[in-house]
Amino acid sequence: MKSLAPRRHPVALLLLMAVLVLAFAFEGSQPAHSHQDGRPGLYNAECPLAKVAAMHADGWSPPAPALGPPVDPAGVIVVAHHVWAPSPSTRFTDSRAPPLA
Amino acid sequence: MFDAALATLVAVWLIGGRAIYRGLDLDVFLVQATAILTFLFLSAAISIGPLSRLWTPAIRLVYFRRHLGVATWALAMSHAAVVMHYGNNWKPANVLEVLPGQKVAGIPFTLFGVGALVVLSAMALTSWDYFLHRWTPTRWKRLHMAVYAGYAFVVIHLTARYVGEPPVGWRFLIPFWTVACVVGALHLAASIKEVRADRPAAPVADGLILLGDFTLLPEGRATTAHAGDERVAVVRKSGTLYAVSNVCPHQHGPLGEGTVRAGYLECPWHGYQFDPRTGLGPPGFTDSVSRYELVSRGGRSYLRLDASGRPLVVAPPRPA
Repeated sequence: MKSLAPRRHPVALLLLMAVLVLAFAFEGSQPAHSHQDGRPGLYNAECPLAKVAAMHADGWSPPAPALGPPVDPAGVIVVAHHVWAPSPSTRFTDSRAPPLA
Repeated sequence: MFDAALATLVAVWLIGGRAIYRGLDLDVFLVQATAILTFLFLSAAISIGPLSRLWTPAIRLVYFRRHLGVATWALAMSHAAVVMHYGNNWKPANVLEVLPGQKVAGIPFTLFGVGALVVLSAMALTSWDYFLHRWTPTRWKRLHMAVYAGYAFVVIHLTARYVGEPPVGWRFLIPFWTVACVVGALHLAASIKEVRADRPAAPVADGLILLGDFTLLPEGRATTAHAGDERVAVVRKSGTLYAVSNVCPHQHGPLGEGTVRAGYLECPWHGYQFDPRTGLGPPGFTDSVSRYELVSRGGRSYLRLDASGRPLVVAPPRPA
């Protein structure tokens, strides 16, 4: 049989107060993190993701691998695999980063 | 009352935190604020059990544990929504885009957050008494042990998030790990206490096993005794000692840590009541607990065992 809830909550309120104090302490200990220019943060110029995004900017492409000797295509059996390839349209800045300007 | 306090805490945290930490952009603040409170709520929720075993007043917190758990899930959902909105533009594939250092065993830290959210969702959706009764308390509690996997996912999620992004935020990580270690230490300490208390007493002749000396047990109070591997709640009502199973049939709460209210031994977790003389609930309720035969000899109390060495269950009186 279920009775009424406990009438006094000093321990419960104590727990909640402790959680609140810890929450403020945690927020204060967070690394600086802002989108604004000139300030350290994940999405601005000092961010590693921004460097990654810069690599994906227009005109950038990975270094071309060294070419091997030419192969006669007629002598090669090509097996087409259905393999995954990264989408060229995917950029780190597409969703995560607001406009930098 | 407790739910109102929870809502007030969340409001104070969001409004007050925003007022104090104005330097952060709103989206950054919301992501961090929901993450921090989710972690702290979850830490508190899973610490209530061991804390109540180590510090008696904390047993009242057990009543609110499910409320805190569901609030944790709501905060986790809020965190996911904020991250998806501000950080991922609601594109699920973007969740996988993290810095190279933010992967654990090749898995992006974000997926650990997704894993935690799945676990918390399952816990919250099955937290109602309907599932408790349908699955039986034993199976329901076993399933809800998955909350520890969810907690591990949260710890990995936040650790990889901050360790993987230079410069490493030690000012956050050290107190964060400290809280996680305190949660682990509470569980360890409670386990040690339980194991020590479970040392069985040696059986004596005449099919009796010594429970202990309860002459100083006050009126209306209960305590826990051990008969072999069985825990027994010994309670004094109207001057007489009674012994019933220590396991409340609702959620396996410790009846030996309850008190007598209105003539019934009341479980400290959720207030389920049983008459210590019969083991039955109040009129109109069908749930009951096993009642055992106590034998007093020379100031000490013994429990009678059956042929298999288990406490002999006394059949409740037939209804008139």
